[in-house]
Amino acid sequence: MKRNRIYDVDVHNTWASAAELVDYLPARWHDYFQGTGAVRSFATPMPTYSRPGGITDRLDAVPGPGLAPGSSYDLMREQLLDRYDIDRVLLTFSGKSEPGHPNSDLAIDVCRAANDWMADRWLDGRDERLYGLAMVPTGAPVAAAEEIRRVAPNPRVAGVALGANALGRLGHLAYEPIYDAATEVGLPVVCHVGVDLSMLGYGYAAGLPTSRAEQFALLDQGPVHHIVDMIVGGVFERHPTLRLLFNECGFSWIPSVLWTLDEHYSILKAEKPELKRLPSEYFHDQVWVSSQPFDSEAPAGKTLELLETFTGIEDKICFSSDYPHHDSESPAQVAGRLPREWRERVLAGNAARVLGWPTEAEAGAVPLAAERSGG
Amino acid sequence: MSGIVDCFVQHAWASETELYDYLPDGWREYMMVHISPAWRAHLAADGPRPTEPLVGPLSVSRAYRNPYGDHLPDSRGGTDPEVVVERHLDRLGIDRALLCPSDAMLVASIPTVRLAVQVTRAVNDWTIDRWLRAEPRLSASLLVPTQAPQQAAEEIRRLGGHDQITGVIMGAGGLAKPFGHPVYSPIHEAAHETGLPIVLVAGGDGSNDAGAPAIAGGPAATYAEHRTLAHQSLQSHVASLITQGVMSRLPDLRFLVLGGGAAWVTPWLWRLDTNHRSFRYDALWLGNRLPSEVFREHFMVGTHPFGLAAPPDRLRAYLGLDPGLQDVLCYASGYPDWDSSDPDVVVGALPKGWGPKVKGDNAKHFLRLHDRALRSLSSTEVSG
Repeated sequence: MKRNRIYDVDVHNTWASAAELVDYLPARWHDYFQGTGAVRSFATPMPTYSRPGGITDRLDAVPGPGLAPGSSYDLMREQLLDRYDIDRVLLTFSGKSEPGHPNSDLAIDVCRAANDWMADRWLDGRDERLYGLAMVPTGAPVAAAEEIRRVAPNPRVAGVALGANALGRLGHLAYEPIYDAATEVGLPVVCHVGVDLSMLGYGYAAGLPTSRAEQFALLDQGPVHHIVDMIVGGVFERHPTLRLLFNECGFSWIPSVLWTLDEHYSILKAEKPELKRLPSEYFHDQVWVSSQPFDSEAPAGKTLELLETFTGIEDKICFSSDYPHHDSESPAQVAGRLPREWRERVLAGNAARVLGWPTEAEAGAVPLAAERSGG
Repeated sequence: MSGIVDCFVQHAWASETELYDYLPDGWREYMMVHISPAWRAHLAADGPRPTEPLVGPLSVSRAYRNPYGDHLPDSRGGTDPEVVVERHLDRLGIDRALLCPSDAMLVASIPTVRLAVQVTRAVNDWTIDRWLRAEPRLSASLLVPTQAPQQAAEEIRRLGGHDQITGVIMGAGGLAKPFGHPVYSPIHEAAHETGLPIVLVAGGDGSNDAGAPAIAGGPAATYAEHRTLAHQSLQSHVASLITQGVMSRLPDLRFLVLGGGAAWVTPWLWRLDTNHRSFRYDALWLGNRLPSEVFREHFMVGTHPFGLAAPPDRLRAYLGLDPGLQDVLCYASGYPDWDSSDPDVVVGALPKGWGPKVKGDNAKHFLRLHDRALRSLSSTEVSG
């Protein structure tokens, strides 16, 4: 019996506490992070919006008292990998602002430590389904490029995380060493909503939102700008094999923003003469987005109608569970909303293209979990 | 009468010196001190006109310009009432057009607060004197200094009763906060009291000194990018106004949203509703109402800029996703912007049957033209 392959492009794993990471840091940071007894957080300041339950995650994903959701492989295996019989997941860290820390020496070393921690604790072959991102210090692009070249030989590293808007919008020429290195090693760059939050004031248009609902409704603003800016900034023109996956930024903005951008093409050519193609063509060839969050308050069927107005969008959306976030979704929930002929692509085919994973055809029929047990 | 109402025509001064006569004593001298000696001599003594352009306290610099020109070529940039009347109102048979001062939108970026207060008063008096007196089909929204909410409220009460004043502009966030923030309450309350809708306009947040970014993620690299994402500041203001319960306290307050086009509205309201369901504890005053319901009741959206590179059938299907949108959209030309759209072009792109509402009926109802400025309209008809 054959079933669809399932690739999940956004699963948040994390260290149980910052102490786990200290062992991976050079000795010179040990006093800095542990000097006062308790281990300091590595995170940069960002505005706090209260959340029901006190966490942004599923309450049932807390592995134990004081432990962060996403820090336990066993629980992730039970609640995600086994329960939904997922073939591969992309581990994307969990809301980490460290790559954008204003002290770039610290950012560089924390990113290296995080990548070593990921390789040791998650990508050590304990579970063939696990793949992960490499975190790079976006505020120090040359060091970030070195880090990309350092980690790329690990076949379980499946992408480069653009974790923080440390130098402004991601189409800026300052980031070029990162795009050069990612292109050279053949890894996609992967970005996630929240990329702007460590820079107070730049995360949202017109100032800080005043509530959680407002903040969440505006969270896609920065990501949409980054995607537009990478197109406009010529990142894809200069790197025709570079792929971008943007996670959790939604997709309902795609038709209106790309139609508007295409409408400005003649102006754009005057401002950015290097662009040879319509903005939407770069998008179609080099950008993918994840399936989550889904706007469940849209009237039934309307989101699909919206997607159908934009040619080729079924090739752009990759299934993501967003485990263990509060609004995480199962493959069946996502597939159930889509036309039958889209399902293979959204559940695995699109992720295969952006991450370089085997497609359904390449992998052949997948045995059911029961047949695979013991493997 | 054609029934056409144009909710967004942008008027401007040819030179900021047009405004100097509308400033009170002291502030006129302030302006004269801050221009070049050659211009000062020219203005004071009728001396020769300097060849260099005047640079004064109101000279705004815009980072983002259309390389092919910001305005329609024969429009004089909206600086001449006769041109606006002949080449726009008469040509298209527009019954009523709402003015919004284009360059003055950057008043929030005047860091000298008292000057900003005086400038908004001068702009409003200049608008009434030079524009509204000249043409009864024109009405205008008041410019107010959002960085000084109390003084803004005073300005609304000073001129809000004028027959041809049909709104209050909150253009740029002068305090770097979205407009539902309680710091802006004096403006909300004065608008509510005078029955004037608040006009949110994209563009003002693009100024350098207003403190709030116009779009998230950092300043745009290009005009094309800046304009494509112009709706972002509008989204932020709308989300803030709804979730902060401004209309729960002021149930008759209404908003006209301009300059970001119409295409962002429908899917984004789904998103706002979805997040409100998850985090409704921050907005309990909405009760059982979804943000989109509040939006439909209190907001109107102008159609400019309307350009979307989509196949017509796709665009029609897209705009028709929410049939409720036909009661929210109103025709807005954006004249004299380079991509100003004629009413027939807009109506032709909409789902069947939406035309009359979008061309004028929605705006007439929303602006209460029948019991406000329509008086001067009917007097024109009698005399004409």
